[in-house]
Amino acid sequence: MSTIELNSVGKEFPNGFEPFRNLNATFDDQAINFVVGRSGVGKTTLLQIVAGLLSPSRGEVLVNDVNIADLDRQEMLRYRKYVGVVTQNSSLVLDRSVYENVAMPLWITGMRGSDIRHRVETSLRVVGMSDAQNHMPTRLSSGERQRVSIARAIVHRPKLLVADEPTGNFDRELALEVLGLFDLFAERDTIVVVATHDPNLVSDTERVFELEDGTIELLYRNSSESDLVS
Amino acid sequence: MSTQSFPWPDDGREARESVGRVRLRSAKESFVHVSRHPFVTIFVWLLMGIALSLPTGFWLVQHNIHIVAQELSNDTGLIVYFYLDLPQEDVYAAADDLQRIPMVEGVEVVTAMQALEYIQVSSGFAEELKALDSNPLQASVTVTVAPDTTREQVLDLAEQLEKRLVIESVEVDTDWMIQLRQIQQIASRLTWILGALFGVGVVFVSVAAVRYAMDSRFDELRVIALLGASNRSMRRPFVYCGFLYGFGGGVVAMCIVVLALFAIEQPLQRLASSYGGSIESVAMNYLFSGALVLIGSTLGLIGALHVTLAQMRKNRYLSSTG
Repeated sequence: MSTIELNSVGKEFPNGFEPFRNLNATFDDQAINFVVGRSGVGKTTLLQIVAGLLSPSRGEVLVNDVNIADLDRQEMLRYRKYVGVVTQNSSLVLDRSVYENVAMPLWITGMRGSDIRHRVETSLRVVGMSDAQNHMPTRLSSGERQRVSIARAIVHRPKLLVADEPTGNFDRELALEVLGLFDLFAERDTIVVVATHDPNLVSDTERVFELEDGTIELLYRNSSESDLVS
Repeated sequence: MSTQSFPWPDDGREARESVGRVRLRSAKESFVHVSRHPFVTIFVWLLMGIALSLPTGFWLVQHNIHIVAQELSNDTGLIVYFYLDLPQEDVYAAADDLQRIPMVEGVEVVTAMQALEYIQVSSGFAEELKALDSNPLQASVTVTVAPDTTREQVLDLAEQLEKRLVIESVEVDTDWMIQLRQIQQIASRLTWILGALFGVGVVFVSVAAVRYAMDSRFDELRVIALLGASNRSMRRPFVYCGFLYGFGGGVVAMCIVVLALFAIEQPLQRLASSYGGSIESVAMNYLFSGALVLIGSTLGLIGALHVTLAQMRKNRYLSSTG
């Protein structure tokens, strides 16, 4: 089982903003790990720390018992190749086709063109966007864009998938459909961490962490241990 | 406590990666960028080309002055005037002596009679000169020295010859050469100053163009940063862009210089040939053209390296909103 362990993790920005100072939690690959909390509470910061995009100011982040702060520059770049990121506004490049957007993480690694084509087609098929590969993102609905964004996040077969408000302002039906895609990866030994400000989206069958006032609290465990923890 | 140093075991993905393909991709991205913005690209090339062609043109002028000066200095020498009543045999004997001096390349004797005949023909006073009782002109020898002879050696030789009994005076014709060398020195310094100024200008143009390219792709860079690209791989396509801008600027500069030379070649050749020199069309030389393109590419690259570093420091492509 793969795990991410947060031990006394704190973050302080140069401007003095300190969203949290002592987070302790464990994310695993048994189910989607939801992080809930109101806007501005530090969910994005936490996800970026876990994804290796930001360094914590205090504490340690152990990924499969390896402190990612101990990784050197090259290893950290390598680490980030194992991470998939989905953002709220889908972050697609609007003057690139769907295919090009999804292929971007593979271009960065220098993968062979034929492998890239195979991977991109597979990813788009998984999210149900095979027919849109040559479309420009501006032609897609917000739900379709988010699907493409998810396809891009999984195209390099990440071991860790972080999604920051992936359902944005979607209606409940569309939001659950998008979350259903994440379930697929949680079932494939990928650690999935999803941040959302909408606690109504999560059910008691998931691992739900609430981030508030600089601390994190586990609300629900997965289905086998679905007792309310706090 | 784990003994592994990386969170996940290698699943073979790195074996499929290639730095060469990443660079090739960056180069392709650069080509796509410059071709997708044709007006900007042409404008940048023209700006760089003009900036590069000005000092290049000036250098060519200075270089050609140098060539003409060298050719003309081959004719440099001195004129030895003998005493008025020196017999003609002694004049020829003295000329033979002069010919034996190592630095002397050639001597040409002008007897008193030949000098008078020349004046009679060229002055238009032939009848008046015939009326003279005796020839008032003295015999002379024009001495041409070897091309590698310095002005100091020529002056030393003149001083030694003036001490000889049969020689009345020696005239050294080097003032024009000194003036030409002074002009050449000024032109040479001006070339360096202009080259440095316009070189900095080319770097600035590259900085502005690459900065524009990075700003116009800010969103894309933010996404690429999010996807885990290193700063180096984010900068690379823009560094290549700077190279392409500089390369194109160098080619444009070469074309401008070739066209300018083509336009002024004939009048310049006529001017040079009137002084006995010739103009060398250096711009047509492959080495020179290659050097010009190389300089342009290097300056474009320097600008791009500088601005991409500065932009990466200035812009936090990974921003956290909390």
